[in-house]
Amino acid sequence: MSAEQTAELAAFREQLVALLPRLRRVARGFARAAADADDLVQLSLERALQRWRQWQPGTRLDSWLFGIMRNAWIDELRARRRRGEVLLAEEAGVEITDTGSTDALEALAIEAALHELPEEQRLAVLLVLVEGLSYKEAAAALGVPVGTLTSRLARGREALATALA
Amino acid sequence: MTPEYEQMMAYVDGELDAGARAQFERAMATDPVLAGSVAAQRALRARLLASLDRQLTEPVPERLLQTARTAPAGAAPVATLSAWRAPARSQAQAPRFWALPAALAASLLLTGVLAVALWRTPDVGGLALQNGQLLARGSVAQALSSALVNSQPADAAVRIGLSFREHGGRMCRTFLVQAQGSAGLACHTGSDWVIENVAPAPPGPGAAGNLRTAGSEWPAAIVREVGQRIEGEALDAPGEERARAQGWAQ
Repeated sequence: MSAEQTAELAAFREQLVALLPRLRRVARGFARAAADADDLVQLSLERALQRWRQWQPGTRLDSWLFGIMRNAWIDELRARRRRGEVLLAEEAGVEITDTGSTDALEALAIEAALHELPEEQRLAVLLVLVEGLSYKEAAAALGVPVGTLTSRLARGREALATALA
Repeated sequence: MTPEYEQMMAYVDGELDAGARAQFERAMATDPVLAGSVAAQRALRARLLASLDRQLTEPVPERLLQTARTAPAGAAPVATLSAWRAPARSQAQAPRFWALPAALAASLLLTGVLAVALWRTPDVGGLALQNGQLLARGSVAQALSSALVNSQPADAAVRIGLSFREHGGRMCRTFLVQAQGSAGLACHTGSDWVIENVAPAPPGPGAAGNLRTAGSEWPAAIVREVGQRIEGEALDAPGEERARAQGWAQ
């Protein structure tokens, strides 16, 4: 590897490190169990590094990674179906240290409402409203047309608004 | 979803161009219901962010930091034989029923794994028997002829692992039919891909929830076959593209 490539790779790795908290957050939108979510992040990192040259500098690294994560999750679900496994049960609720605080109750309500959504709606909501991707970027990451993304987003929004009213 | 709702959502999400945005804002100025919907959508988003942003301050597990900083990176992680062989070594303790004489194994496999796996699913692949040879057809043949290791989609139905020239001069490639748990080795002969070996590619032995073993791994039988046939090193990405451009000719 040339010195230039080595420097590019080091910069790429640092960008991955900086994205880790957001990758973990999105992974929880796919895999509800926390252990699964971190495994999914790890697999996504490995795949991203294997094909880091395919990322186009100047485009959003986060939405590229979310697309890799989606594919990794699909592979995982397929592999589990083949092995006849079921998904890990969701851990009971979120970990709350000060159960009395309104913030903690609010977080609990929001996570519960999100998890009530079908996965496709949950991911549309997370990528656009929480991660701030454009419709086009979110649609590309989820591998669907923009029209599909916006209708999932609309349904997810309405369901959340009702649940949290 | 009504067009009005769609427009309102696009406005809130910053998806309207300047003209449409100005028009929407004029409408909103005289329509308190519309203004109320916009305010409600903004409030919902603010609530989500206020709550979910707390997750961003949780400490990141050390193993994820390690992976980001040190996991192998490369344009061509599978284009060298040693790199490609590494994952198969971990299967050394797996049952080795494929360590049978090649002819017996081939006949078993022919009637067994591949035949069942590929014929059962017409949209995944196909194969044909001709003059005592097993030839790739359908999506298996398609992948062998056209897929490049580094640009194939992660969820390709047929994945290519490695491309190389064998001692006799033919170009050969390994392939994996993920959904059917079958891996094989095919060599380009005339205008066909002759399937020289095939083996079950079981998912890894990991426990439920261990994503790292989710993908099928390359069976030892196939890795060994590659080792016996390969002339020199496996093709790198440019070499693979050249071979494809030349139709995988000897």
